[in-house]
Formats: sequence, structure tokens, C-alpha cells
Amino acid sequence: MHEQLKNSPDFSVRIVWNGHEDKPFYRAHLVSASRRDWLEDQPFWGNAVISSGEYGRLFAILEQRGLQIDEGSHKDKFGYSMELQTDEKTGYCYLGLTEETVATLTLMLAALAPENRPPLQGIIDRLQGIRL
Amino acid sequence: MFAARKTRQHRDHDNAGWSRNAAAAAQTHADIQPPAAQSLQRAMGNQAMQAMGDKSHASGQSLPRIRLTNFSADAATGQMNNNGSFAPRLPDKSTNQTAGEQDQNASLTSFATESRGVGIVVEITNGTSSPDYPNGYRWTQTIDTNVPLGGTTSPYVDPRPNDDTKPFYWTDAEAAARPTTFIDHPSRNAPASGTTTWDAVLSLNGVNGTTVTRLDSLAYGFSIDTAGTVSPHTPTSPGGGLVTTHQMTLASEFPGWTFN
Repeated sequence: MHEQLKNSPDFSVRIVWNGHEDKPFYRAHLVSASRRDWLEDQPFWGNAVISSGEYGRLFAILEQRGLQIDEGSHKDKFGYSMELQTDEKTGYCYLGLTEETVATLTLMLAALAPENRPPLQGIIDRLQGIRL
Repeated sequence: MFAARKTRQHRDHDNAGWSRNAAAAAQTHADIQPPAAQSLQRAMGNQAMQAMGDKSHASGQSLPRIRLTNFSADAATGQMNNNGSFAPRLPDKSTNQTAGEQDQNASLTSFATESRGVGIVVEITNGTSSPDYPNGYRWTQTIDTNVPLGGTTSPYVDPRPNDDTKPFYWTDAEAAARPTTFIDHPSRNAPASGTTTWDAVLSLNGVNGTTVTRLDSLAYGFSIDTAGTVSPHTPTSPGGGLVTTHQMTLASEFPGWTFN
């Protein structure tokens, strides 16, 4: 499943929050150009169209940090999780809500082109105000 | 349309006078007792306020107010998509407002039950700038819940922990992006026992440096039981006790600021 997700030119990546909240946490939706129409302008969501190269770098960070991609959703786990979707597969990677989460997201931020960073920057900015 | 009914019963926090029944959202104007301009505005819209005028401020300029319209406290279905995104039942720019609300100060506001909480959108009316408040109009919100987040006790200022050094709901960057709009989607998980309650007082303020002058407020919230059933606490005008608590909570958490 991992390779199928990793090598698809048609993809969608959602970084979503699961759990209770007061002022909502930010979410991000990153898609391939082929899925541009999937993006919706919604409060607390940041959107970007990213390249296959950027997508590959996000995957590399998951591998580098030993983060597992599962077939089951993590919506019952508190914190952030990543949903990777292609035409054939959907995978879920639990990111949590720790300093490690911020570290992972910061690496991912750097892996994106500058114009595509605001969605992740929004998440990180909010988390940096929180004592994790 | 939301109509604040039996306003006097809402004056105290402890009298359970808040409309905690979805049916309250369907109240008509016939139920309204309009003791104050604020309530009249909420009930009748800008037509009434234009007739009364609102020029009491030193500058003679109209000050913004919160107006509640287009409310639906229908708890029929959840609103969070299966992808975790928010999908308001009512659009921010709903087209079903009544004819007298179609003026330049019209504010379209929504309130709806979601899967584990409520969603609310509030917009200010009567302009976005004033020489008396060179730092603009900003939202403050305090929360009173029996399941507080951020390692704190209730009541507390939202967000907690803070995401900047100011007492406002939006950060400066967020406020710049949404100068007239307040949006919130508070939620709690279903409790293992008992009922989780979440109540907020939201205020619109004029800001001059570190002096924050409250202009208008509303109270809203929800409760969620062990079965995950969400009961909305329909937005209403908060009583004096709630407003005092709101102001005291802000002053306590932000001692370097003045809250009028």
C-alpha cells in the first residue's frame, strides 16, 4: 500500500484534527493539480496544489521519522493525523499532538515550495502557542 | 430566524433561562418583549435600529452591534464531513433573510448543531472602523465548561492556551483576514458519564491600544450526553452576571489590558 500511495501522480493529502476543541485547530488539504477541484475554501482550512516532487518529499519525511501508514482511520485518536488518498488507496498516518508533531510538520513545511507553505504554517503557528 | 424570547429570564446565569431547546429557534416576533434597543435590534433587525439611531457615542458615529439572524438549532444530523471538514448547514451568505435585512449593514449569522458541538458565524454590522477605536473591532470569547481544555479551569479566555499574547479570539493575522466575522466550531467528545456542558460569552469590542471597550455580547453553547446527543444552547443576550464574569475573566488573564 505504501508504494502505491507514494508513487501515484494523482493524490490528496489532508492533515486533519481529531478531538475536542474550543477555537478550532487548523487543517490542511494538499492535492495534485489533477485534484485542484477538490479544494474547498473553508474556515480553518488551508489549501494548496503541490507537485509530485513535494508529495514525494512528504513521504520521505514520514519514512525518515518512522511514521507508519495504516489502512484504518485514526479519527478516534486525539490529535493530528494525515490522510493520504489516491484513486486506488487511502492511508492514514497518526501525527498526534506532541513536540514530535510540530517537528514533523516543520520538516514538511520545509519540503514544500514557499507558495504552498501557508496551510502547514497555519497549523504550526497555532501549535507553537500551545505548551505541548 | 432567531428571536430572543422572554429576555428578562435570560438575565442570570443560574436561572437556566437560556433557550436550550431546539424549538426556541422557531420562536416568532410575537413572543418578544423588547426592553432594550439591543433586544429590539435582534428581534426586528436593522430597520428598527435605523429608526432609533445609534449615535450615542462621543464621535457621533454608529457603533457596530451583533445581530442574530438565520438561526437553526436543528439537531437532526451532524455537520462534520467524513473527511473531518466543516460543512455549515447554513451558508455564511444565506439567501433566505427577510426583505428588511437587505441593507448595507446586514449581517448574516448562522448557528447550527454539529456532530459533537455547534457551529456559529457572527458578523458585525454598522461599519468596520471608528476614530475612537484606532485598533479596530475585535472579538473576545470566554468559555465556561465542565471539561476545560488546555490545562485550565473555567471560565477561561478562548483560545486556551493562547495562540498569541493578546486577549482576542483571532490573532492579528486572522483578524486581518476576517475583519468582520467571528467563526467557531467548539466540540467535545461524548462523556463516559453525566453531561458535558460548554457555554461561551462572545463580545464585540472596540480597541484603542490596550483598552478594550465591550460594545455588544451574546451567549451560546451546547451540551453533549453519554450517547453523543448534542443539545444546542441557542444564542441569546447574556445577562449582567455573565458579562461581568466575561470581563473579569479577561482582566484576570490579561492584567496588562483594560476591559471597559
